Amino acid sequence: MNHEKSITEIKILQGNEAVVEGALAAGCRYFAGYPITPATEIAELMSERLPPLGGVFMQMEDEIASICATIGAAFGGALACTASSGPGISLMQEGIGYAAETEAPIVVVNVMRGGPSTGMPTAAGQQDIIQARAGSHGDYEIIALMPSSSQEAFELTYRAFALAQHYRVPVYVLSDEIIGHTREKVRIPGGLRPIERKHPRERENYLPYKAGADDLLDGMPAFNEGYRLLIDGQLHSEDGNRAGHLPDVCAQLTERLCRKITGHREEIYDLETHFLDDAERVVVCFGSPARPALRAVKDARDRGVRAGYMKIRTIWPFPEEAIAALAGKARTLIVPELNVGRVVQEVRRVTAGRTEVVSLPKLGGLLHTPDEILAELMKRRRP
Amino acid sequence: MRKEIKLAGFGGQGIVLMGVMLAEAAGYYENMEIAQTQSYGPEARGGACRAEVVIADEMIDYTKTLNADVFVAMSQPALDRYLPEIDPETAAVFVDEMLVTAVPETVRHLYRIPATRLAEEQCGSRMAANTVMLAAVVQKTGIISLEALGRTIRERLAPRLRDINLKALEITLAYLSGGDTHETL
Repeated sequence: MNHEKSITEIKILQGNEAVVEGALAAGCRYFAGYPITPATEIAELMSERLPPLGGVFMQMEDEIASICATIGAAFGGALACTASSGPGISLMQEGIGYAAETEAPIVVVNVMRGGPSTGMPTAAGQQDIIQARAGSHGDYEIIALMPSSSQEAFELTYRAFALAQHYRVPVYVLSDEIIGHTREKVRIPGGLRPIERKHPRERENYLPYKAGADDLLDGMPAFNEGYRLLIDGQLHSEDGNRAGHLPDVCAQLTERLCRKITGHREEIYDLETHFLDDAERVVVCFGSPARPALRAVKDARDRGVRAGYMKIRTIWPFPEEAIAALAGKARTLIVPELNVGRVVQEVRRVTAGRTEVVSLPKLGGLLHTPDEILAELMKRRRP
Repeated sequence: MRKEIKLAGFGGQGIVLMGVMLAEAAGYYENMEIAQTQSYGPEARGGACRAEVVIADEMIDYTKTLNADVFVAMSQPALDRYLPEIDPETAAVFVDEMLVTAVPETVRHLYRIPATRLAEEQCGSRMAANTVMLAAVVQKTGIISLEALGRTIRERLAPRLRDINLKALEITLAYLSGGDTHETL
């Protein structure tokens, strides 16, 4: 047996570099992209690292071409990835809908900057979280992961490739300018294996869009492997042929595209919690504000406040059950985010008035300081 | 233990590289946890530029500086802009002697280092001013060891940058051992 040693290699990496290392460890061998601040280091490092590994780096003419080339590479047999930020991600939206509809397993890294429009190229934001879930037209579901450190940028990018293959879905890594450009130690586990693509068992009478009872397709084929593939953005029947004239087929496909993610959400969730046992006031956080939030929660506990911490690594599908369970225990949930207050609406929806929910938005490209979150933790409950 | 260093100047002075060298020296050669962050403008050169390094002996929760132990200003606008975020009583403040002329008297621990002048006169390039300043910070504060800084220059910098930066380290140590006229306390 091939016994691989679990030596941990320690590297000091920017979040953007950690994304590349996580992708390569997962077996990513295709990247198509177009440079944009603050995501450019991903393309830059991919262009250095992929060719010696036998992979392909393509600088495309724009982001529309980038997402399309990435989808094509996925059906060509590669674990494929693209990366961009604000304006580039907006250009990719039609392609992301196409990937969701054709069930193309791709990874899209969005190193979020301040928006809207060209916005703040060199500063952070979390204003694209809603876009990630619903930026393209039509009903569909995707998976989105949010790292809050270089370590998580590595780990979540690796997992993004596994999730993309398993659920046959575009998976976002929603990083931001702060995570992308912060250098930290990354502990790379030894013996990390590339994600292996599962090939469909049936080859002769293969139906590319025939799902199992779990709503998932049987593996991921590629062109030129002997499977008959018909890939089309129009709603289709199990053999891939257009089915616009068949309302039931179209309705069932649309429902399955959503259900294959929401129905498996408890397998997908990834949360990190601290001090929840006795917590009365809980900070619910994700991405870069999770760092000052943890500090604020520790400081509050030092001052006798029963503060708790929940970090959401998988923002979509939204961890409804875990948040709803908090509402039964904690009096107040505080949601710091680098936007006008978007995810807080989801928290309010799933807690349905059973607990106080406080929005702590921050704009202008800055990160919350620990004191700003601490001040909210120290406030008494409103009458 | 948590030590915080804030570095500021203008784009092109190698401010971020100073932060990276400090972080790598502490992280790779002194087995510390590190977080290095930066903020920068859209301009490649000339715009305001800031880098921060946190060095700790445990996992770092908040990655930016809260109350910097060391503040380095490589330009007058950088000093003017960031000094209000610094505790003038406790922080060790390092300024480039030539580029920063007006320092408020409230600063208790001030080090005027002729970084740009020494780099120009003795290394033949202003580009080395960042390493001169970093060497002075390390020598004066002991925030990392000089050995770790030397190893970082030798083992981490691109080969084309190695010699001039080793020279910068050497001339800075020679300069500082020459007396303490550079230090205003």
